[in-house]
Amino acid sequence: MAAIAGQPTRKTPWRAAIRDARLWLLLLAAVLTLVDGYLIFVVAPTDAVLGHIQRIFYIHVPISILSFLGFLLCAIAGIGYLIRRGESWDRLAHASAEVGVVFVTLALITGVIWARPVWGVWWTWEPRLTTTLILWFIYVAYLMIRQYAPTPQQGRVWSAVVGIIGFVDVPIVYYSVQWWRSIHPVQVIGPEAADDALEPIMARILIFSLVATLALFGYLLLERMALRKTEDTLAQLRRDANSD
Amino acid sequence: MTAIPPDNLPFLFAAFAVVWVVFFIYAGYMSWRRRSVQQELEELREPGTPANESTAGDGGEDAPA
Amino acid sequence: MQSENYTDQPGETIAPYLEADAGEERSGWRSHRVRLGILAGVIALAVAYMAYAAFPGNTLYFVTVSEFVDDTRLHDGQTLRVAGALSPDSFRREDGSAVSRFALGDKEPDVPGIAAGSPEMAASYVGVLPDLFFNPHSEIILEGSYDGQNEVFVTDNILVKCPSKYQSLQAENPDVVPGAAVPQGGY
Repeated sequence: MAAIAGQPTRKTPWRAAIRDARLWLLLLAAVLTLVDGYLIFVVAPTDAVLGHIQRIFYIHVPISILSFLGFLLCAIAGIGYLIRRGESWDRLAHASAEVGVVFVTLALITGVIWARPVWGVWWTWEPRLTTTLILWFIYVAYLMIRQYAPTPQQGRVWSAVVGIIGFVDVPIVYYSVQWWRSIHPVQVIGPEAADDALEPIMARILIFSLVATLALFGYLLLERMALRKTEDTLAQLRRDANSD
Repeated sequence: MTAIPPDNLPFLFAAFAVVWVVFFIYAGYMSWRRRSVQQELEELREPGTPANESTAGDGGEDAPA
Repeated sequence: MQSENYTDQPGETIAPYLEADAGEERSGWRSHRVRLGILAGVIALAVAYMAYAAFPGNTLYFVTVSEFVDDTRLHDGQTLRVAGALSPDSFRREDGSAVSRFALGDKEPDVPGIAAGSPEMAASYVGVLPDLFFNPHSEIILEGSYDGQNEVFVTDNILVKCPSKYQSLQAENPDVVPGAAVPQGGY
């Protein structure tokens, strides 16, 4: 490990660029979100069967999709870490798992709030909900393994393995509504979606919401990676101070 | 034929409120914690070496691993 | 949320372990291993329970009305879910009573009402009906058990499954104002 502490680190221009990218992403996410709110509450038509509650759809679906993206990044970065053992790979894996957990938690919460008035229950043990809750458990376990492993080094390796194997649940969640009988509606976006699942205006607003949520996801991911980097630097500094 | 749909507005607003509160708390927590770690970092660096890297830990690193 | 950091355990001198990576192996190994073991156990149990809750005995989340009618083994009073559409004009509820009686028939996807020629199953339910119970697009899932003596499915819970297609109110019926009034009881 390079001794970061006590030595002036070379200042690279792209370091500042990344910090700027984070701020720009935050600004972009804020603007897109405001516009998205207008689209969702004013422009989007009211659903004929479900009424206004169907507007939850425009955040529930993008949030769910981006939790998948978080876990995909986590698995890819985990593979990268196991092969190259680079700290940056681990930082990406860790950050994307944590942001992924935040997103899948919100997907579950928005789902529960949507289910109560429409299905009549907050929760039911059906395939889509169950596999999603399992997904939540897998990546919460991922984060806990990092905390509780005997050494940070082991935590990185073990969590990478969990992150890679755990990703198997993501396609299971996506296809669960097709493979098994379910109360959850089938896919409205992605390879298995019906062409006429959404009215064109609804589909366009969904895409816009997806972009807005993606900007927010990107900001949270970069912020988490920056935090992790700062924490690593501090830990390294402490270790160096102790071993002197 | 179609029945008039129910509105269920409290549920709708609750869902959006939860999402935005969670995002704000999470982002706020991260930037608060990064600043406090950053400060600790600078205090540790002060004795001995000049703290000439004010943005240490921000962004990337020198060599992509 | 805190990242793994280097041990600050009281009463332990960290420095000797920090010479080499191998040294770290020992720090806090015991308590860590116990905690990890408990963690793994809890997660395994949770996942196993969820798998069991969703797919008990490898059965399906629900059976259709015709599957239920055809399979008399399901009529023994076991708890199960039956899904279908509300049979037109079958709904009865006396004034001031919470007891609803109705019949379900098979539902074809994306077609309102019951499928032509479908068998029907009589059901009863005590309680408040979900908002979308009477919507012809809804698929109704009943949780409960069959009372063979009275030939009625005694419902404990009603769930409503909605179509997977979303369509605007304006496109389907331009006259309706959303939220103007919620229809109560019947067509």
